Amino acid sequence: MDKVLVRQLKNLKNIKPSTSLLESQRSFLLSEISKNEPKKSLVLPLFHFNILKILKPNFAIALAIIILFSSFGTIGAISFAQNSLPGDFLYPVKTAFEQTQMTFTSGEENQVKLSIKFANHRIDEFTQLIDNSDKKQDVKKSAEEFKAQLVSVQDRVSKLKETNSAKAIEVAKLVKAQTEVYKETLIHKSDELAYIIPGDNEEVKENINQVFKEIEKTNKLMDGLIPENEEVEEIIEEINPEEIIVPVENIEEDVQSGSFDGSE
Amino acid sequence: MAEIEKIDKEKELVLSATRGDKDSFGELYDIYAPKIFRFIRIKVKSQAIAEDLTSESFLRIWEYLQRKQDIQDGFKSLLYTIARNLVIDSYRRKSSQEISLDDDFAEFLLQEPAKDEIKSKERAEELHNAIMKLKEEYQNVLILYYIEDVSVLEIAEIMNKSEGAIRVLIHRALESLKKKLDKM
Repeated sequence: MDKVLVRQLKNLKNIKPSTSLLESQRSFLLSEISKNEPKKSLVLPLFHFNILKILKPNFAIALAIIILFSSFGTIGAISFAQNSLPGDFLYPVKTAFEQTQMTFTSGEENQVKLSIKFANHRIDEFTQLIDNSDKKQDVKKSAEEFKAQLVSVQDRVSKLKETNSAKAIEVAKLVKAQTEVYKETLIHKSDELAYIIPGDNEEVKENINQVFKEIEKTNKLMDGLIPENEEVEEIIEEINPEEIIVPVENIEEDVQSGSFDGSE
Repeated sequence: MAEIEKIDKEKELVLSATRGDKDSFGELYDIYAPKIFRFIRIKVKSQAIAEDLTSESFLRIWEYLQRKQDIQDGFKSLLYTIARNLVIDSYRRKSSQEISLDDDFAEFLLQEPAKDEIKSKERAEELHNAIMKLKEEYQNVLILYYIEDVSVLEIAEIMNKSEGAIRVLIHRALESLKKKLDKM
C-alpha cells in the first residue's frame, strides 16, 4: 500500500504551471525588481524637534559659544557620529552629545520629549543592526540601549507626574502614540525575520521579544496615567501627527505604497 | 558530475543575483518557479492563490538577496521557507481551509493527459483533499520529500528540525495520509 501511495504522490509532479504563466510572471517580477530602488541606509528621523526652542536663553548662548570656539574636528566628529551604530568607533560621541543636549534642556516636559527622540534613535539603530548581518553581536547591545532609553522615558514621565499631572497626561499620550509606532516597526521586522532560515536569528528574535516586553511595560505605565474615561483611539487621534515620529524604515515603505501619513 | 556542475552553476547565479544581476535572478526563477508553484499549489485552494504566492516568494527572496548577500548555499532552503511562510499567512487570512466546490485542482491536472484519465483525476483530487487536511508539517515533508525530491538534510534546514526528526515526520505523515484516504 505504501509503494502505491508513494507512486501516486510522485504523480503529483505532473502539476506544472503553464508556460504562459511562467513567462508573464517572469516579466512581471523582473520589471518589479527593476522599479524598486535599493533600500537606503537609515539616516535621520523625521521628527522636527527644534532644540533651541526649549533651551533657556543663557544656556542657548553658552552652547552657541561652545560651538563657536570648538575646533572644527569636534564639530566634524559629532556630525559623523550622528549616523553611527552601537559598536561603531564614534558611537560614544553620539551618546555623549545626546547627554549634553539633555543637560542643556530645561523643563521636565521638554526632557521627556527629548528622551522620546533619543528612544527613536535607539530603535532606528536597532532595526539597522538587525538588517546588517555583520553586526549581529551588536544587536543585543542595541536592544539593551533601547530598553534603557524606554526606562528613562518611564522615569521622566513618572517624575513629571509628581510636579504637573496635567502635563504628564499630555506627555503620556505622546509616549503611547510613539510606542504604537515602535510596536509596528518591530512586528514588521519580526515578519521579515520569519522568512529567514530559523536558527540563524533566534538570538535576534529573543532580543526583539525583550524589547517588546519593555514597550508593553511602558504602555502600561502610560495607561496608568491616562484617565480611564478616555478611549485609546481618541487619544491617538488627539495627537498631532507631526508629533508622532515614524522610524525611517516605515516611512520609506509608506512612501513607496503611497500611504504615507505618519500614522496607522 | 552533472549534478555538481548544476549546483555550482546555481551558486554562481545566486552570487550574481546578490550583486543585482536581474538576468541571473531570471535564470533562478526559471529553475525554481515550477517547483515553488507546485509546492504551494498542493497546499492551497486555488490556482490564483498559488500564482500570487509564487510571485510573492520570488519578490521576497530578491529583497533578501539584496540585503544579505551571503546565502549561496541556502538559496533553495530559503525559497521554500519563504513559500511555506507565505502559505501559512494565507491560511491565517482565510477563515477556513475547507476545499471549496470550485477548487480547480483537478482541471489543472488535465493538462497532463493520463492513460486512465478519469481515475487519475479522481485519485489526484482525493490525494489533494487528503493532503490539505493534514497538519502543516506533514504536508511539507510529503510534498518536499516525495514530490519535490528535496533531501532530508535540506528539509531539516527548511523546517528547522534535525534529520532524524524529519525521517520520523515523513513516516508519520505517510501514515496519516493513508488514514485520511481510508476515511474518504
